[in-house]
Formats: sequence, structure tokens, C-alpha cells
Amino acid sequence: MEKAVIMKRASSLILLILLSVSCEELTEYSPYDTNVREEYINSMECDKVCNSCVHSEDTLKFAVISDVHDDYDNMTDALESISKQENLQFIICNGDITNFGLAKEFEWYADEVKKSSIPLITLIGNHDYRSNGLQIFEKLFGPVNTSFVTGNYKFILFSNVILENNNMSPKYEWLIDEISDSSKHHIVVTHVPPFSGEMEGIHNLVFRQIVNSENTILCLHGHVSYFEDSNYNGIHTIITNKIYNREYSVISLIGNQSFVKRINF
Amino acid sequence: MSDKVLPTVLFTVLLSTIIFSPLFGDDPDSTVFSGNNLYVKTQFAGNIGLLSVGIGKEYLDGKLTVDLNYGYLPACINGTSVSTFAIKPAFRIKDFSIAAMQSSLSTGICFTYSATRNTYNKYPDYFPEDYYLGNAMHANPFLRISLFHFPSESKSGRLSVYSELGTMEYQIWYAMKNKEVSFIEICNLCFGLTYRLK
Repeated sequence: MEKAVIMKRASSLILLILLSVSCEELTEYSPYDTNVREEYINSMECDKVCNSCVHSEDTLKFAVISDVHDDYDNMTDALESISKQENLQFIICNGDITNFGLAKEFEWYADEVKKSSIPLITLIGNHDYRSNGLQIFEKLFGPVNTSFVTGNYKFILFSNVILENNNMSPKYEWLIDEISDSSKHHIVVTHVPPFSGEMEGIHNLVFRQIVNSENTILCLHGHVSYFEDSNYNGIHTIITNKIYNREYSVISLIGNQSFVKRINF
Repeated sequence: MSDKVLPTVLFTVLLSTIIFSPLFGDDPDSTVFSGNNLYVKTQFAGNIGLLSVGIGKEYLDGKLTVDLNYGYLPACINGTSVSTFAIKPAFRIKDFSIAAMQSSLSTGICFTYSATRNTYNKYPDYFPEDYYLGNAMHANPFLRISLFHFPSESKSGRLSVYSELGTMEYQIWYAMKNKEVSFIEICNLCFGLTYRLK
């Protein structure tokens, strides 16, 4: 056999064998795949917050970003800007970390979280429930309803998404349990504001009965893509702008008082 | 992320070599590609399931192929099952030979419709009208290298293997929009077999 033919066959065979052997990481079965690594990122990030040095039991400063969707470059810039803020203890991402609830989107967001020098706790948003997003979120970040305590403050991250969760009611019994602890100041974080269209009617009523000025000092929301600093149901309520608008909120707590600063980056 | 570097580099090397290198001849046996034949096929991966089967037809003397596929991803692999229907038109853009194997390079788009949880073309009535665009359909561009291993006059000559380097429409948009999403991260590979019926 001619040398050239042998060379041709050998080279293409080697390339194909190497390609086949190494292709496992490159194969994708479906965009709706839920095969992501189990990491429970929220639980690790909450541990970092709880174990970190608290300057004072009754003061706290943290940042909120919201509605990242597919804006990873803006998120990188936001995290860089946040890392330059003084005395920030942690960051909350107020949901909608994907557009379609697909595994790749979650993984790209998770890569950003891992780059953050400050603990970042993530709440699920309505977009994140789409496709098999709920299963992926629970594997990567942990339960959709979670809480953590730092100093005299208890943060309650509550999923109040209804439509994308097969029109099912949020787990209000979990919220009642969490908010019944009266030894701490409560900050309730939900993606959808209780006064938006998705929550109108019975859900708005139930939410307002559970979360009120007697047991909560601050409510944080996202979803609507603009900033708002208001008082709803007697509670200081802050909606954080979507990251596409290159803005985040820095919130300071002093006793039961809360103060917000809009930061553009 | 970085675990995708090696296979992507290898595929790119293979592709570049095919297109540019004198190592590979450009003297294909024209009889291999001629005719408007029917074919059946099976494919591993490629965003249409763990395994898919399909049937297709050649047009324009084999320059254009269109196949219909059904793919399935079982719950034991994925955590939830996904059924996918796909139509794949592809144009043959270059014929060549690799190590005495008649081969071709094609490009096309795989249009998919998938059925799994929370995936709709028309959303249930409890959603407000025009709340979302449907999320059950995708368009996945690909480059395909087909290798015809055996002498074309034999029965086994009807068999070919192929590999496709593909991506998805939303991933292209994400990579264009974000420096954080690299080209390597949006690539995927699949492998398949086709058998010409006539």
C-alpha cells in the first residue's frame, strides 16, 4: 500500500478515535436535560454568611441584584462593583437567573456565583420554573424556600411563583412556620411583588395576612424590571432593578430601620 | 467548560484538515452520492434525545437531504423523560475522500419540538395571553461530516457514519451577547449511522 494512503488512513483513524474517546463532555441529549451537578450552592453560601464575622448584631449591610436572565457580562460587572463596596456581608439575587429554565443557563449563572468574592444567595424566579427548571434549581442551589440568620436578622427567601409552577399555590404553611419566630427581625424576599398581577386576589390577601408590619421589617422583590422604594401593607418594600439596566441595591439595616441606595455600575 | 476544549479542538482540526489540507484527496467516487435515495438513520445525542431514529430522502441528486426523527431521553438518565421530534434539512457543500473513504461535508438546521414538563407551544389558559413565546421548539444549526466506509457497489456500501458539530439558537445569541460565554461552551457533538434503502 502506498505511503500516502497509509498516512491518510492512520491520521483520520487517530483523529476519529480521539474524538470518540473525548466526546462525552461534548454530547448533549436534550436542552431540557436536568443532569447538572448537585451542589446545593445556597446552603454553602448561607453557611459562609452565618460563619462570617458580624460587626454588630443590630446592623447589617448587603446588596441585592435581580433578574439576571442572560446578562452574564453585566452580572460580572455588578459583582466587581459590589466587591468594592465596604462592609457588605452578602448578596441576594432576587430570582430570574434564566430565560427558559434550561440547564446550560443555570450552569452559566452558577459559574458567575462561584466567581463572587462575597457570598451570593439565589432565589428562584418565575422564568426559572420554565421547562425542567425547578428540578435543576433544586439540584444546583437547594430548596426553593430557604432562610438564614445573621445577627438579629432572619432572611426568609420564599418562592411565590404560581403560574410557572403549574398554577400551584406557594407553600404558605412554610412561610407561616418561618415567620413565627419572633426573636429576630424578619426580612421577607420574594421574586414576584405581592401587588403584581400574578398575585392578585386570594394570594395577595393570604400573603398580606402572613407577612405584616407586626412580624416583618422589610420586603424585597424583583420581577418587574424597575426600581421602587415604597411602603406596602405597612412594610418598607424595595424592588430591585433588573441587571440589564446596570443597577443594584445596597441595603443597610440598623435595628428595625432599613435604608436603600441605588448603585449604577 | 474546559473539559470541552479537547473534543472541540479535535473536531476543528479534523474539519480544517478536510477543507484545507492536501493530506485528503478531493477525488470522490461520484456514484456514492448520486441519486435521490430513501434512507433510515439512528443518532446518538445531538439535543434530540439519548438515541433517535429517523427516515429521510435525498433530493437534487443527493445535494439536499431532509429527514424526520424521533428521539427519546429516558427519565433514568435525565431525571425526567423528554420526547423530541425533529426535521433536519442539510445541504452537501463539499465532497472529498479521507483515507480512501468517500466523504462529504454538509450543513443544515435541525428544527426540534420537545415534550417534557413545563414546555409548551400554546400555554395553558391560566397564563395571560401572550405572556411567553412557546418554549418547546428550537432551531439547531450543525456541520456534518459523513464517511462512507465501504465500496459503494456492495450492500454495505449503503451504510455511512456521520458526526455533527452543533449548537442551539439561544446559545448563539448568549455567546454573541456575553464575553463570559465562549464558542467552545455552545458546541456539542453527536454521532449517527444512515442506511440507504435504495
